[in-house]
Amino acid sequence: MSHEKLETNIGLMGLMIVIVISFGGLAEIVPLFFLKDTTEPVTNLRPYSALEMEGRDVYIREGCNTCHSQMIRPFRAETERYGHYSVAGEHVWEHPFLWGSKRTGPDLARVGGRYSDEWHRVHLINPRDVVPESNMPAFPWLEEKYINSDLTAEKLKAFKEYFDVPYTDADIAGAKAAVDGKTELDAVVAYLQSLGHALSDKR
Amino acid sequence: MSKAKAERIPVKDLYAKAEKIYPRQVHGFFSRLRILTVFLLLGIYYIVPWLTWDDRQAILLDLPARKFHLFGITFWPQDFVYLTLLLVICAVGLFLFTAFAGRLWCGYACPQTVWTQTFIWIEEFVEGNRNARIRLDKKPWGPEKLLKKTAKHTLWILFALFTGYTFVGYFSPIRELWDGILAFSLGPWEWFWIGLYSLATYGNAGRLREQVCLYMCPYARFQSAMFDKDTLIISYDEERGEERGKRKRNADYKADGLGDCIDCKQCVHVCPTGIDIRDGLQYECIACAACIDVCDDVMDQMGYDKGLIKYTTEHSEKGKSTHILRPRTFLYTSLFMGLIATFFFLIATRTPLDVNVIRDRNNLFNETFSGEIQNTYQLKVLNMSQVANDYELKINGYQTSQIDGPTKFTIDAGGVLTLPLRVSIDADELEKRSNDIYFEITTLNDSQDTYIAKGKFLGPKKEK
Amino acid sequence: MTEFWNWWVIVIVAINILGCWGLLFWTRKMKENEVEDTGTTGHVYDGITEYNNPLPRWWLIMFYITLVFGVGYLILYPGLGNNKGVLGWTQEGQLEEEVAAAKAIYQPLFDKFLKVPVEELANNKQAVEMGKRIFVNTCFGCHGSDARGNPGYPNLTDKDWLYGGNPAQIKQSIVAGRVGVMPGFEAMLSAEQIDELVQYVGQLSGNQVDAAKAEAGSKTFALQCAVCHGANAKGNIALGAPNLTDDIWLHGASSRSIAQTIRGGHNNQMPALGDILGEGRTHLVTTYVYSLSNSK
Repeated sequence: MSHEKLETNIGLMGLMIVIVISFGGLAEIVPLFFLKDTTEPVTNLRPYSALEMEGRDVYIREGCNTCHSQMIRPFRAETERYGHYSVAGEHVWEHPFLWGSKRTGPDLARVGGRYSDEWHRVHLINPRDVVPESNMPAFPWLEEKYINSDLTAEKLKAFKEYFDVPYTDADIAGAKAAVDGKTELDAVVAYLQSLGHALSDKR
Repeated sequence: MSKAKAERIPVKDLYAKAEKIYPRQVHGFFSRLRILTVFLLLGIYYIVPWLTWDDRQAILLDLPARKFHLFGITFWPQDFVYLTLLLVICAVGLFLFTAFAGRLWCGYACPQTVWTQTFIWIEEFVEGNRNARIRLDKKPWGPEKLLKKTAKHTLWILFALFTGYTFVGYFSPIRELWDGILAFSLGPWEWFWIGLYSLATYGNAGRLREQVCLYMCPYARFQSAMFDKDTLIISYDEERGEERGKRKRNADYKADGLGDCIDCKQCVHVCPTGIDIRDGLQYECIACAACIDVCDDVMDQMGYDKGLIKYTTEHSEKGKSTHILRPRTFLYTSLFMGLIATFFFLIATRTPLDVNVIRDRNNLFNETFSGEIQNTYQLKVLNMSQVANDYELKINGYQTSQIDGPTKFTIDAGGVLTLPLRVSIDADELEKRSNDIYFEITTLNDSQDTYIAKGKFLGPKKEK
Repeated sequence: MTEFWNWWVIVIVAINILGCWGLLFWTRKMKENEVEDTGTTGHVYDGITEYNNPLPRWWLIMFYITLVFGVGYLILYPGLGNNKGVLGWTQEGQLEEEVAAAKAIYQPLFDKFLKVPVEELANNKQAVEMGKRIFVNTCFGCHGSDARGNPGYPNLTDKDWLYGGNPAQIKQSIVAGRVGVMPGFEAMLSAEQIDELVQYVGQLSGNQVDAAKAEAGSKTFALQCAVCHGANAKGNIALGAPNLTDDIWLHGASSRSIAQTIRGGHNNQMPALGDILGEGRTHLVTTYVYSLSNSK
């Protein structure tokens, strides 16, 4: 096969690129699907409550994970600031992962319990009220929109059935009632306060 | 088997081996100009770190302390904008000179050119001129070649080490650095940086030379965007030179159909990037004018007019007039002057005081027993001047504002003071949840410099 | 990693490296009959042709150097399946090293004050300043950067202490944390009784109140509240029950706030910071907090 054939045939070139790139993934990613370290939950891990789960969906919808990572790397500079480094077992029930890859804002992996609920409300409605130098967008509509509780039970059920997240039948039955009348702001705050709960007592 | 052998097709290497270039040293107007700039620039480089100003190294870029001392001014990280502006001025300056005079930078001022020139002098001092060097390299290894090569590399390395040492001397006090070297007591990072910059000097000026210009330098590559038909370039006068060819002195070469070029190839031999200027304008040409000098000598010897190779422009080559004033020179000049004026204006009006307002982040607000709204702050006040000063603090914008904390204080030269404060304001005076608040700090000396720092003051949510 | 995945990674990595080498080797030359000898690539765009200049040889050598670097890396660091690498590097190990290095620098700075008792150290300007910095880093979120507290979080600069203000008691609060629980009485007391209690508590702080109601409230107080707050309402530092006879109110001084406290109770927690700070830093923070209410 000559260079010319490869360079003038975009389909063939695409195929070769996919093959070359997939080598990295085959060695680095595929084995992780089968390792105990990366597939078993840490001891204190609990599934998200119905409200937290809805908050997580709002978090994804608003694209929070494009600016906030949820992954503390094992460097002293990070563990001093954020707490214990993230471990795979904390994230086994996350679908999809919200690790992120870019920190325009700070890491949120252990933000739970750092601030009061009221602080989060003020901050989400207008971040500059509490952090003047912040460049985070304001999310005032979260306060006005209510969670659609019709789908909450279905969401928990999907996580239970497809991803083996240990929700009880009672969790699923109570899901609608748990989020009824809550605003999206309530849900996001609940989600943020839950982050890092599994290793919150470790440094 | 034999059939396969017969059909073997010769292969071509797709990667070219670098041809070693042996530039011959030239003498002439432009080469004297270059020697002058080399001495001037290297002189500045090697001498400046030894200058002192008020018992301190005059130019010291103290990275660990995050302070840049430039003569009488100390720049803090907060002053980064000045450095940015300075770099922008340098870039615009480069464009400006390019628009006026082509690759003046490459030929005379670029560190790559300046250090390469120095390294070639050392080479010539040890190994002799161009022909001697070519002969030496062709010779098999023997005592003479070994001695000369060792001597050359030793000198190069010593010079490179001194260069690396001087470079680190801009960042770490150069006298202490020298003592540290003699006592062999430097930290690993100082050795590393001295080593790295020495290696870079040796590699770039001794080994890579024109390869840097040809393959690494981005400036060479965007020349086509910088050049127009009025840009000063070095060019061979093809009309006058061709047909090139050997001839006897005093022969009537014109009758033989020959031009002024005697095809002596001197212009090729002196070229530091190894090109033939007679092939026309090439991106490899760094406009060092060595070929002009050497060709002028040859023309003199032949009794012809000088200037077969000369500084010219494309317009003038074609017999048109060259425009020095044209939109781009006008634009670059005004931009350049404007930026320099801005820079000096900013430096002259710079307030050596910086205030950061840090509101206690986690808490929203307190309500005092007398019903006022209270916020907690830390004010970080930075005295960036070189003397201690007294300061006074007040708050602008609210009639009922009260400061619970110190309002008059002194800060040492280069010191940072953290002021814990509580500010309370009557709830009725606050119109919304988040309000702007201005802390005004005045220097109590002749300058009366004032700095106003903005912060936020939070109150209860007001119902609409 | 199991043996299978171990070999899986090793084989793929080996294929990768050999493949790169092969590709470089294979493409470094070209049969001469395939090279157009026009000096250009033959591509023409808008009348502009492209030179077919060769790359410098050292460029190719740099490619080879990356391969050598890669192999060297795999020898030194983990990468080939379960192979730990000659250096035995791990990311946790690197973190531990970083932490240990930082500890070696800072620990002695903190620990050198450990032998000095807090009362004496409170006069050492440097120690107090260090304690202040640690305080501002660790404690400001609740107690404020000036240590004067926030609603629900006590002021540490006054002489009023929920759990006692001598150095040992302060240190205990920091090391082990405190949990202050005031139960809510909404279910046990009628609205009227609560109102009477509010009047009585107001009277204790010297406010103008309805004397009759306060009198009735005092009876309820003796029954329900004196257990923790003491018969004289002076509080109990063993439980962290506040003194109700002064004008310091952690959760608000208005009648409304007091009534709210009685109805709903409070559940206040100071986290245990002993493990996080370590002995040396705890000692310095204790010194700083002690100095706030005990310096001249």
